[in-house]
Amino acid sequence: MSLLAVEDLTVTYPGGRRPAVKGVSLEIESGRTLAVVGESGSGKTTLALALAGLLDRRARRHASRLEINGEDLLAAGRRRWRQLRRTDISFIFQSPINSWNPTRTMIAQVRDAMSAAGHAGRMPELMDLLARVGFEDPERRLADLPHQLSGGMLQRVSIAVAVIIEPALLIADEPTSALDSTVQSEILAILGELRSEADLAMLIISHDLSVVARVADDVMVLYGGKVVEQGARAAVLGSAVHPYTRGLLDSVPRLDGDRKILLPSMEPGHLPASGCPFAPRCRLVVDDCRRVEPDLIPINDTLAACPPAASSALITT
Amino acid sequence: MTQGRYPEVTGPAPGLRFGAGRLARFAKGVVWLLVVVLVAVSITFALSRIVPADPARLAAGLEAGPEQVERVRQDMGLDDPVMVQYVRYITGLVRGDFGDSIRTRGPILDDVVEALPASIELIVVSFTIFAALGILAGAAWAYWPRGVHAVLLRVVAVAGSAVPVFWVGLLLQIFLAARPDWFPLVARLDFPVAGNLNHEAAGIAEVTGAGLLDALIARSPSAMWEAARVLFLPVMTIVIHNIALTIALTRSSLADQLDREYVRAARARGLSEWRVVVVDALRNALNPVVTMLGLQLGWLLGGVVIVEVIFSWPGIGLYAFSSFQSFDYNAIMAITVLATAGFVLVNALVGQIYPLLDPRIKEAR
Repeated sequence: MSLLAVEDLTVTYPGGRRPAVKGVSLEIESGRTLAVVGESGSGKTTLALALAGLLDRRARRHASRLEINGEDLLAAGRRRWRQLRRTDISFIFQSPINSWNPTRTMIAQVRDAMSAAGHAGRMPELMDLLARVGFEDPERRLADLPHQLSGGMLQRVSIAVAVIIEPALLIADEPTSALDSTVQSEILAILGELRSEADLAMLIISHDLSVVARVADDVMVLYGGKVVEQGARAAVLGSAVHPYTRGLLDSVPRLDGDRKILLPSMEPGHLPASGCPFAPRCRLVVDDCRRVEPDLIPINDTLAACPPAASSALITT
Repeated sequence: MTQGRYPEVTGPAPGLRFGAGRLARFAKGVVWLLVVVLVAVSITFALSRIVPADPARLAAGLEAGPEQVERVRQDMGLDDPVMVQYVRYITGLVRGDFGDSIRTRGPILDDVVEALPASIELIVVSFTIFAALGILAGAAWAYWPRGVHAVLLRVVAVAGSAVPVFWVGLLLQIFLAARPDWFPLVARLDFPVAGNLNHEAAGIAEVTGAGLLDALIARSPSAMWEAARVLFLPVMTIVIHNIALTIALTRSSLADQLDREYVRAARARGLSEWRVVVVDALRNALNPVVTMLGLQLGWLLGGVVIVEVIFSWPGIGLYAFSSFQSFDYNAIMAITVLATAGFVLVNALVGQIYPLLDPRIKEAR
């Protein structure tokens, strides 16, 4: 049974022309990692927040199914969600420096988190874990304020605090995009190691396909709040069919300089009111795309929401 | 922020943080205070000699002839060159001598010492109430931005600061003291006396001159009740006039903090709403509020004049008002010096609060 099961999740913000997340369904099993890929404004952060009960109070969430560990959370109140975040769901944010209160010492905030989760007595264990993930001299350095530590150090604390409660689900929203590439690599290695030890389900959000290639088992591509393609990592990264996924893959810089056709750029937020959200930028667009919102259909090795791609896939293969 | 590493800030070693640096800062503060007071005194002194009024004439009385006025002028040293008068005044100040009052004929210092406790009582009680209530209401408004209370607070925030303070005082007198006589209309009519409460009638000793405190010292519940009743209307007037700013600033400052990512991150770690909102966000939000409260407290030192006049509150404000009316220039200058010194002192104290709210400030200095 899947650890996390979501069906038809839609999130709307007041004043938004379109839902930020629309009709997303996903499942993650324990021990597996799902990567959600998409550009800014694609709804990936909203999706992650919705799965941890951290949405803004004004946001409206609808779903036909939302289960963690088999528990139905469609009607869960704020109190239940908070309890889940203490025991079952951990969250790692994009910006390490913004994840901590700038005016309180790290040790005070770490203690707050540990006692909230009911692990106040496990501080020595946390210190060991910190030392293991490369945070040197934790007893002394944690007495510092957040801005006295580097981004990589802060993110190590965030990760240690997130995994020490032994969550069933770890959500990481762009955990490395605010870091130097060398630090990024270290953090990804730590995440991967801890994940395989703990046998937890992980949802990682990223716009960086090299990150996805390193950590993901499955990949889901979001565009305009909708899933446009999903499948196993190898299938999505190797033989994607949706024109948006192809565009993303082709945009990755290569050393040989042989760039393929780039995605036509577009101002964010200018999504069409109806039809396929990607239609205005799509090279395969046909009249139907602007009228009907395409559903996910199996094409080659993935599920993709693109009927024209299905027909061209038949021709090319 | 896309930056990967953050600059290491290395302050002086822990042992050096106190001691020399702190002492130098303190000395700098004292010098600064003295300079500000000296400038204020000089300006007031200059003004008092420019104003076309003749203190000798006023001091001698209306029936006095020209020779008598001239004699008074010599006695008061007013026929000396202005610079001589100035130096004499400043040296007097250094010795704690503010000169004599034309009106009460006694040393100004005695009058001030007698009037000060009543004002301090009024200011401290009003300030505590509007600061605490204002922060509470502003925080509640930021946390629950919609609802009946939000509409009410918006009205209070606009009306409270828009309506002139004398109008608030008069309305309170009409509706709470005159028609239903729940509260005394004025503190006392037989000015000048110390205290805002008839100590003899209440049967308590006059220790500090502040009614509430004296009643507390005498352990007399009835006198405390009476003192509170006397305080109520003037305190309400000051609170209504000042609370609006505190509410509005606390609300916008806390609303800004609640939108920060660290608040969401703290919630993600399972922290209770109390911890997230009060311990983390509100503490950060209080920084600008403290600045403003410090200024407001400073203004109150001079701003109680109107309230004290409306309610015949026997404090420094009413004393100042009477002194203005009789052009008692020594008294006016003394009050100016006190108000200035008080303002600078309050702001220096406020400066000590910032590092408690935001430890990054201590480091930056």
